[in-house]
Amino acid sequence: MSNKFLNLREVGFNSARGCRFESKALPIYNPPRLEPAPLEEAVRRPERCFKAACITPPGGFDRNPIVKANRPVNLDIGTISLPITAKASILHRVSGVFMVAGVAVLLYLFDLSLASPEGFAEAQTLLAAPLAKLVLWAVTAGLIYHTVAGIKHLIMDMGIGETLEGGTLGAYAVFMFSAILIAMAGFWIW
Amino acid sequence: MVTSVTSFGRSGLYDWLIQRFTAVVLLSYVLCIAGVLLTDGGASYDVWSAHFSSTPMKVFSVMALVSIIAHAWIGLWGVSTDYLTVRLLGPKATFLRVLFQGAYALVLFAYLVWGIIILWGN
Repeated sequence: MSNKFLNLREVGFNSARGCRFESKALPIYNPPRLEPAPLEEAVRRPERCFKAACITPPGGFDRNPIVKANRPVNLDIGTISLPITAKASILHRVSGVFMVAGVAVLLYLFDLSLASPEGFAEAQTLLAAPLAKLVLWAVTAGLIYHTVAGIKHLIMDMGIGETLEGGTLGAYAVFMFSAILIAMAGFWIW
Repeated sequence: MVTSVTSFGRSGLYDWLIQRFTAVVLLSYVLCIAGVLLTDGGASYDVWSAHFSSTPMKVFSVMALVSIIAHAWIGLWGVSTDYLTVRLLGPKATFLRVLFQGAYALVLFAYLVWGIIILWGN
């Protein structure tokens, strides 16, 4: 199948005027159901591709005739500047994966400290070492961040703070609270 | 509809609910342990071990342990199915993903048995 049918301009699609064919059947943001995706349809039945490719830009053609319907969209997550909500979200994942390994550290210390009085003393000696303190603090920091972000998640599940402003505020609050608690945990460990 | 066989609850809705239920259990347990540590818990072996020797505390600890397994399984499943994909890594992604899922299943099972031994074995 030639790519010719996929070139919207070649097949007579004029974005400035909208679809050359009647577009009344396609209300804004409400495409008819059971209609195949535009490109699939264009490949399968090129004679119908005009109608199928008629995508209305945000605001409609009338309000902004300059906006192209087929303008490129950047979905490369590596080049997008992440909003604070996305940073809070990805850090929730990172801290979660980190803690799966961290659980081994905590279980080891738990095992040692409960095994015998000697084990308890050994755990105390171990935790006097700066490196061990650092590891414990890192695991604790992951736990604190994941917990605080998780509480925000549960609050949002109740329907609180689900707007854009609420989400941004929540992400700021998560960073603030967890930073304070992580600092306090650091003081407690050292 | 094809049901994913590698998810925890075998359905997104179950996973969603289990994730939140275990989160609340773990939050309670973390607060409990933090309370123990910040009061007298770390004072001596006798005080520390006494905290974990009562039956209610053992039940709570095992509940937290099982919650960690379920919570981590669901979380890691979400991460692996989001990033270890054919779209991002190419044809070898399916093998890598199943390998990763098998690895965390083993590790989490080991945590469960280890934790039970710590609580009852010593």
